[in-house]
Amino acid sequence: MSVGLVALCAFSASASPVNLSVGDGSIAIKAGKIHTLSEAGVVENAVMIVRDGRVVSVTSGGTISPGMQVIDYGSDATIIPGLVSASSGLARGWADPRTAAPGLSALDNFDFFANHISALAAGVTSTYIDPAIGRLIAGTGAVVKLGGEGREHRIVNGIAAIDGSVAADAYNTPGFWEPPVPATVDVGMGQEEPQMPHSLQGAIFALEGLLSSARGAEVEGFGPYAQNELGQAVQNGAIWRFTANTEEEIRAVARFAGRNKLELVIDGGRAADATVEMLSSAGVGVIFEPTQRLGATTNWGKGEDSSWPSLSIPAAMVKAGIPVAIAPGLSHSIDSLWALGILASQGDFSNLDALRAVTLTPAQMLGADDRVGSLGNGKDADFVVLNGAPMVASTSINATWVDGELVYTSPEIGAVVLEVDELFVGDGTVLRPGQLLMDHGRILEVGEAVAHPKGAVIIHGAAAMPGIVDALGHFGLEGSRRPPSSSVPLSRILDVRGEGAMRVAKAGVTTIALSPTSLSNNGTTMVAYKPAAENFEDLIVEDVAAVRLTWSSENRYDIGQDIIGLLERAVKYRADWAEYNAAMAAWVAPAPEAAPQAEASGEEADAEAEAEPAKEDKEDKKKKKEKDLDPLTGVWAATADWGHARFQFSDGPSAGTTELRGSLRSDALSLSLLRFEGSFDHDGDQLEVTGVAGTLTISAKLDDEKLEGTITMAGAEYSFEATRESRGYQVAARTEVRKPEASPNDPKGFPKEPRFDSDLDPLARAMAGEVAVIVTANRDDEILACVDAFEAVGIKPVILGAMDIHKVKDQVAGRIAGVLPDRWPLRSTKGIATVNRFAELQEAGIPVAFYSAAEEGASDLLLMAAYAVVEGMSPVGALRALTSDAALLLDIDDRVGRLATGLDADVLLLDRSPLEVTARVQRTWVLGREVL
Amino acid sequence: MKFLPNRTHATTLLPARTMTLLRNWTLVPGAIAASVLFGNLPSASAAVGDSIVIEAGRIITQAGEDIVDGVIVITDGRITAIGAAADVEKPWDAPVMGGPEFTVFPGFIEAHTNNGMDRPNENLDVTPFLNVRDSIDPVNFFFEDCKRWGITTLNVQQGNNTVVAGNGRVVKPVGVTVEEMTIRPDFGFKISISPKSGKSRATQRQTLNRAFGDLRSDLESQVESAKLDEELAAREALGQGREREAEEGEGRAMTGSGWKVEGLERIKRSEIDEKVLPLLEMVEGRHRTFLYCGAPMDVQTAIDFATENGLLAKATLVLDASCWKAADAIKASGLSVVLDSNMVHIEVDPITEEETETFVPSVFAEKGIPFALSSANSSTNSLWFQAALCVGYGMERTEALAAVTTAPANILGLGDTVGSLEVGKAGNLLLLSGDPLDMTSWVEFTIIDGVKIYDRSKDVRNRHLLYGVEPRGTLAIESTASETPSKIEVDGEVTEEAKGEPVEEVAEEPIEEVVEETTKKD
Repeated sequence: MSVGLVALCAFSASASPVNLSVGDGSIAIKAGKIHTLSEAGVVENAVMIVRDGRVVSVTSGGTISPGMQVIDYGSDATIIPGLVSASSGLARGWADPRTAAPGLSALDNFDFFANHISALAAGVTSTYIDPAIGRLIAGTGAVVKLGGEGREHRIVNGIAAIDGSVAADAYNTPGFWEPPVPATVDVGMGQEEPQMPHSLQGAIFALEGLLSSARGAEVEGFGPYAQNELGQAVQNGAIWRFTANTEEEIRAVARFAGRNKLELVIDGGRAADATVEMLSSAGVGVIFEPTQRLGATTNWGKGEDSSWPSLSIPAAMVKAGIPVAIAPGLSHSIDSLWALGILASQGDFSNLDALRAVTLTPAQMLGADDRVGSLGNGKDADFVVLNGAPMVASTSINATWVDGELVYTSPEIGAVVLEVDELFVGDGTVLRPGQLLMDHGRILEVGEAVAHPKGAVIIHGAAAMPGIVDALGHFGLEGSRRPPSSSVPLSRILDVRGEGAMRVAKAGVTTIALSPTSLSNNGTTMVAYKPAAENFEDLIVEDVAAVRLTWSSENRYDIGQDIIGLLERAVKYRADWAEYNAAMAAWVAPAPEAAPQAEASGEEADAEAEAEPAKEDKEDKKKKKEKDLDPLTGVWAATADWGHARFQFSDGPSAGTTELRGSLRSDALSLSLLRFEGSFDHDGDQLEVTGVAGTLTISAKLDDEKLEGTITMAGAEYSFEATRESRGYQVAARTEVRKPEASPNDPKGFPKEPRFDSDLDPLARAMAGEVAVIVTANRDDEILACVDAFEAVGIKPVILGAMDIHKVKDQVAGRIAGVLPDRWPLRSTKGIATVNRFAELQEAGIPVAFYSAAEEGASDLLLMAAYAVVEGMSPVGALRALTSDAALLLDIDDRVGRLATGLDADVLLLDRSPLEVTARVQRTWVLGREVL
Repeated sequence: MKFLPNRTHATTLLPARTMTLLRNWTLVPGAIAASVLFGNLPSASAAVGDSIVIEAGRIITQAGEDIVDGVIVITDGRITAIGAAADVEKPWDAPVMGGPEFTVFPGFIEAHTNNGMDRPNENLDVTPFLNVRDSIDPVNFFFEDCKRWGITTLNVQQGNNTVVAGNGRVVKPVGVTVEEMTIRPDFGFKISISPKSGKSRATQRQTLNRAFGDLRSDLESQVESAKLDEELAAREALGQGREREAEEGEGRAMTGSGWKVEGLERIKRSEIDEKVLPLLEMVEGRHRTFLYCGAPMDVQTAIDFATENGLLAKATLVLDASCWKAADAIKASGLSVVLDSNMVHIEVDPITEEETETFVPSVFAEKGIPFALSSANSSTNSLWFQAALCVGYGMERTEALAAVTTAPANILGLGDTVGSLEVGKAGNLLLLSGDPLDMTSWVEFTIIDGVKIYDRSKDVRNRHLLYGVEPRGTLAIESTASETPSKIEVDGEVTEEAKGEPVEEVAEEPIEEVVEETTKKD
């Protein structure tokens, strides 16, 4: 159903399982399907009740009692039991020096504190662990859970199997030697005691010996411990699990097990297909470990005893009724169990067989099926939530639960995959079925099957098409009818995601070529934008998408003359700029003069080279100086509540100097004239002076022709605010020795930049094919004249209106970019007969597009197209006219208009084919973001 | 620093027995010269009846309130009086040291270290017959550093790369022989739960189980054969018609909280293989054990193992930083712990790559688990630094200070002799120039058993490193000279050893307060 819901649920699930105070702590988990792998089979529309980490029930549409926490993964979700890996190296350590060490427990090596999130993310919730490899009996293996609380609880089967190997890896056991402590004259250093096996027969012989010793016989050669330890393991009900790959190994170990009535599981089983009859009659299970190395190249069959690995073995074995588990071999980690399960489903091995081989079967083999491997009543609530069918490559894992607690949720990566019955690319092609992958606001892939990145949201639907392009609309003007100014970009008035924008987008219109309602004679620019974009950065498709002009006029005498004049000016403007650009490209700085003066002139040249940034700098400074070159000199008077004061800055600071001299007369402070000296900080406009005699300090700040500060005199402070009374003493100002500034003029011969003209510029760009030109012309003579005029300057215009174009369609075909016909699709001929003008033009090879010429009315475009279809237009053509052709006319087809790789992810999901007039838009994405 | 009590000649401090021992030691003159050089005169013990009075502006006793302007009287190596200056009667003839500028603090206690030995481990798996006594090197730099940083009590145990290691020892960092250094001989055993090199956890566990399992089965079979012998003797006696002599009381019945072998009293302890006898004593609860856990997964194994074999009552866990994760299990077991010198555990989330930092001591403090801090070696991450770091990470100051004094003392079972300054406890203390946790504080004097064993003003190495003062008696080698003019600086004077080269001025010593050693040459 809805993916948004799934995402929401996943989110809420991650936040809430701890908060189970309400009710009895039960959780109801809903999904489209649950593969229980128990008697219940596959439950559709399923509800699983989980309490205290265990499954209480799995039913179809079960009742949810109040107080239960409900987590709905949606009807597209499938739940399977947590995967059980039948082998892993998670607890693998050094092997015992002895050939048989049944006392070595994998549990001792397993780190219950380790974080197994990558395995949990891959859906593996339980695994078998072995203590070591490379020994006839390496120890005992166990089944543990990879998540959950408490060491004891996480051990599903502590002594699951006596783990060993009769394959070649066990043949290299070194001789056993233990140095005596201390070695004395009487006690020699001893020597290595050779250990079996070095061959298959030795392995079987040694196993027989070990087994009989475990059953009480005296057997030498395995050390003092093996007997007891093996006896204990057998007593604890451990099965025998042996690595055997070749046909001989499998037969030999199976016969050994048969003779001694042992429960045997074969691990590896590369050649198991050759022994199916024997295995099935002996009731031996096989843990098939694919030897193919995923993601790495290997060569096979080179050695004498090497065989060609096959992925079809599991299928053959399942057919023969042999229990088969798929497990990662030595070269794989348990994270790849899911992928291996899918790979192994070659031959007649169905997806469900594969599912069984990574869940229930390994659990049964290893004595763990009372807790894991299926989702029956009372089983551990370990399960995996998928976004599709199990063991299918395009399905990925959305969430993993262990003991009724969410332990992993796929990160929201933002990627969305649409899987639809019909995918309308927009240019007329249709993919049935079709898939589309979008992320980061772009369409990443379109095809019958696309990549399904992990964590991608997958959405199923009937049909998808590109977002509709309104080739000429007014949405965004907010009713304004003011004539536009070509110097103010139209994009300035646009707003982001208003209410109307969302409605228009939900109706399927994602891109609008906005034109002002009133036009200027010199051409009106149009902006192409996405009203439902999320932010301003994404809003604009093209700032100047088109220029609108009007050819039609009531005044037939000078009809088109304005435009022709405009075009002439534009041609000249373009030529000027072309000339300028050419000159700029060709211009080289004047070469430095002859060698002797090279240094000086070189410096100058350098200075010139740096002039560009330096000039600005200088100008900045100049402005500052100009504010007042001599800010203080003169007489300043202050009146304060403590009395009057007159400052005379006689030797005031001018530009470039900071020293300051002057005097203060204030009867309130002193009877005599107080002379002072100090400095003035031009940058901070800060004045700091001290008295020549006595304890006078003045600190003040010059602010907007006012001097504010304090006088400190004999320990008392007097604040004042002085204003300038005169600029007297100006003679005392130091004469400025200013270097004449470098001429701002460009060096000689430097090309002169033409003036930018906001009216002509779009037309000039149109001549370069960068901007579309939309010209209103209706009568056939107007159209012809118009096309001629534009052709003369190399522009293929789009004709708007074009009432009579059918009369001249053959003459203009190929010379115009397209037509935006009058929105009424029908034209009468011969009385009551009507012709669909959209269809007529498309037949003639002239692209047409629907447009609204309205604000919110843009939302009717799909209806408009439907009406055109009802009135005889080809549905495919109508779709093109809504999308790709509209984008093409406006020259924005590199961004929108089609569902193609690299284009903006503006996608509509419809309830049926858009070619049917009853089609409705269900969901809309703009730049990969759904419009909600 | 006007007071320098007990300024005596080095050799006079050495008891006659030690001297006899040393005479056979070819390096003796060097060793004595070295100790003179270090300015830390090792002294075996204070003379009987000797008292010393220590005055300080502040005494941090670690047993109640700090004392302002306090006095400590140490007699025969033990504190006999401590209190405010007004309350304590000072023996009139006792030398006085310290002064108002000093802060007195108990000597730091290193609860577990494997420094100070030539090598920390033997390569055999189970070696309870080894003893660190044979490995401790009294002139190891480590012990010199201990004096410098005020560590007065150390538990030296074998390293962690073992299964069952040899016997450890509690020592003080002073003395020229191991015996002289010893506080508790044959103290504790290291048992590693984490795999030693070449083992996995499973094989490590197996080796441990077998070591104790074999001991048990061997004892059982020994008891069995002893029984048979007795029966035989009884039958023989019966046949000969005489009373069999009772042979009770030869051995000792097995005690302890772990497994027991019935009838062990039939066997004399001396008949038990001495290589495994320490294991039996461990099971009987006679030895303290230090169980090393290198990962949280080892903790439960350690507790299980200790419970099975009766070690629990006297066990201490030596933990890697990551083991904070198993703090609940530790709390439940009631064990005390010694923390790793690295106290910050950093984990990286495998998916988000976010780093999580855990300050380990805080976890144990919160859970109320007794813990001691430890230093990597005594110069980097020394104990004062570790405690200061704890405070920096928000731990209570008292808790942090306890973790380097009273807590380790209790863990070592030495709580009534060291770790705090109280009447009756050992006179192990530091005179610091400031607060013990202050980065700028120096250990000015270290006192062990009432004897000054470190004086910063005479710390040659320190002065060389910090002030560039050439150690007296060393060869000053001029880098440029082709032929090395050797001159020896003795007692502040430079004498020319050879060649009659002109005597060079020795740089003026920058420390004003330096009091010249007035030792005379014989």
